[in-house]
Amino acid sequence: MTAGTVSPTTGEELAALVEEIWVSLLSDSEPLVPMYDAEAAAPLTDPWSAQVTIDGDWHGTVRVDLDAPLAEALTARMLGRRPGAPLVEGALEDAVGELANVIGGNVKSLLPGEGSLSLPVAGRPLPAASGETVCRTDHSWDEHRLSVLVLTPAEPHQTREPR
Amino acid sequence: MHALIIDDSRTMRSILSRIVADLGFAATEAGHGQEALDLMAGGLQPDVCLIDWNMPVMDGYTFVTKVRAEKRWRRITLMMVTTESSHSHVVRALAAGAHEYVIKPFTADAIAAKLRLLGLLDPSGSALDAGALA
Amino acid sequence: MSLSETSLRYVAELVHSRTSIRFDVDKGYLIQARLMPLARQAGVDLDVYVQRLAGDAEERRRVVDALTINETSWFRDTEPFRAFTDVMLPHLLAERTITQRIRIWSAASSSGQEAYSLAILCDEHLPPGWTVEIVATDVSETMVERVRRGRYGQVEMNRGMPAGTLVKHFTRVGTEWEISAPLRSVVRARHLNLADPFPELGRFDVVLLRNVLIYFDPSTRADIMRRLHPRLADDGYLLLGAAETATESSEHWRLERHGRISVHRPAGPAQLVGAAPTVPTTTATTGG
Repeated sequence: MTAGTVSPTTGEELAALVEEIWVSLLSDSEPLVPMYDAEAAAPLTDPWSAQVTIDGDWHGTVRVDLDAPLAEALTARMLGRRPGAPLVEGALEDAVGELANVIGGNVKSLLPGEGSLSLPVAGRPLPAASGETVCRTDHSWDEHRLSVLVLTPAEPHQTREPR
Repeated sequence: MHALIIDDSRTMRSILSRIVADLGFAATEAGHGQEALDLMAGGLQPDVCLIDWNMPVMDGYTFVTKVRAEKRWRRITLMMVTTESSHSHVVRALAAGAHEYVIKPFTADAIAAKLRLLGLLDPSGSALDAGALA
Repeated sequence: MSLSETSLRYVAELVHSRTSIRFDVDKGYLIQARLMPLARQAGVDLDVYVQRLAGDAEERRRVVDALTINETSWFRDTEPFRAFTDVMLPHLLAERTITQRIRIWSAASSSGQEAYSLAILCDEHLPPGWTVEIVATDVSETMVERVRRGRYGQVEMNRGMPAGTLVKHFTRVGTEWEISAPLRSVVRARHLNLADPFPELGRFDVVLLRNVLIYFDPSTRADIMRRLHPRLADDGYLLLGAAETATESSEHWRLERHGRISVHRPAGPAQLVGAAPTVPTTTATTGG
C-alpha cells in the first residue's frame, strides 16, 4: 500500500467538514442536510462544478458538484446579494471555485506530510474528474443537491471506508 | 484605517471587504501578491493586509517575505487568511513575518477578534481611527 | 420535527432578554438548526425540549450560548484576562511564595476555552517551580467530556486564539486541534450544577463565574454568591460577567476596579460572613 492510493478522509469526516464550511461561509443560512446512499445515488443533472488537486505524498482531486439553483443561491449569499439579484459574468465560477478551494484545503490538512493545493477550476459543465472516487458525501439544501467527491488517479489501490 | 484584501477569488475579496468595512475600515482589493505590491509601490498605505496563500502570479507567502524585506513597510500588519491549515504552514507564515493567521472557513466575528488582538480595533469594536473620521 | 410559533417566540424572547440580540421569528430555521443538537443530546423532540427550558436555568444558558456567536471564543472579552495577568497574578505571586501554587475555578466552563486560556497564560507567566490547578465545571456531561479531550474545530480555533499561541500549544489531529498534554494536565474537568450544593472543591485564588448568574432567579443568584464566598481565599478574586457585576454586590463582597473591569473580593474573612458592615467600595489597583 502506498500513501497515494488511500482516501485521506472518511465519509463522515468529509461530511462534517463540508457542513462546517457551509455554515461559516453562509452565516445565516439553513444548514446542509446530509443525504444517505439510496437518495444520493442519482447523478446531478447539469450541475455547476469545481475542483482542486492536491499534490504531495498523497495525490488526488477534490471535486464539488452543485445543482444550478444552489450554486446561484450560494453565490448570491457569499456576495451579500439578495437571492435572484443579477450576478456579473464569472461570479458563479468564482464562488463555486472558492468553495472547492476551502473544502480542498481542509481535506489536505487531514493528510500526513506536506502537499500543495492547485488553484481551483470551475465550470458548467466541467469535464468529469478522472480517477476513482475514494470518498464521497452528499447533502441537500432547500431541495437542491451538493456532492463532494475525493478521487485518486485510477490505479490499483486500497481505500479506507469509501462511501 | 485601511485594509488591503489580497485574494484571487473575488467572492472571497467581497466577503472580507464587507467584514472590514462593517468594522470601519476602508478597503482596497488585489487579486494576487504582485498586484498588491504594485498598489503599495504606487503609494497605497494599508494599515493591515489580509492575505490568501495560494494565488496566481505571486502567492501570499512570497508577498509577506517581500513586504518584510522593505523597511518602509515595516509598520504594516500582515494577516494570512487562507485555507492552508497545517501546523507547518502557520509556523512558516509567522516566521516569514506575518502577525496573525486565520484559517478558512472563518466567521465575521473571528476576523474582528483577530483585528482586536492585533490592536487595530478600539474597545467599542471599530477600526481605531473610525471615530476620528466620523 | 419543527418548532411551534409559541416555542420560537419563547426562545427569541429568552435570547433577547439575556443579550439584547433580536432573532426574527421568520429566522425560525436558524433557531431550529442551532437547537437541534441540544434537543438531540437531551433525547427529546425540539418542542418538548423548549417546553422544558422554563424550569431549567442551566439549559437556558446553553440555548442562549448556542444562539449567540460569542460563546466559544478564546480569551473572551480580553479585559478579564488582561486583569488576570496584570493584577491578579502579580498579587498571587507575591502572596503564595510558600505554596507556590495557584488554584482557579472556571465555573460553567462550557467547552473549556476559558479554562485553557487561563492555562496558557499561567504557562507563560508563572515562574519556574510554581504550579497551577484549574478546576473546570459544567452542568453538561458532554461539555465536561469535551474539556477533558481538549480538542477544538477549525472554526473554534479562529475565534480569538493568537496564531503564535496556536502553534506553540496545539497540534493538528484530523480535522481538529488538540491542546498539549502539559496544559491538559493542569485542567481538571468535572460535573457540577451551580444550583446544587457545591461538592468539596477546596479553596480557590481566582473564581470565574461569567455570564451565568443572569440565568438564575434573584434568590438562587444570592444563594450562589453566598455559597461562593467561603470557596474563595480571603484575598482571592471573583470575576463575574460585565453585566452581572453591579447587581451582585452585597456586604460580603467589595468591588475593585481594574481598568475597564470590576472584580469582586471577599470583604473580610469567610468566617465573618454577615458581620462586615461595609458598603461596596471602589479601591485603587493594588496589584503591581
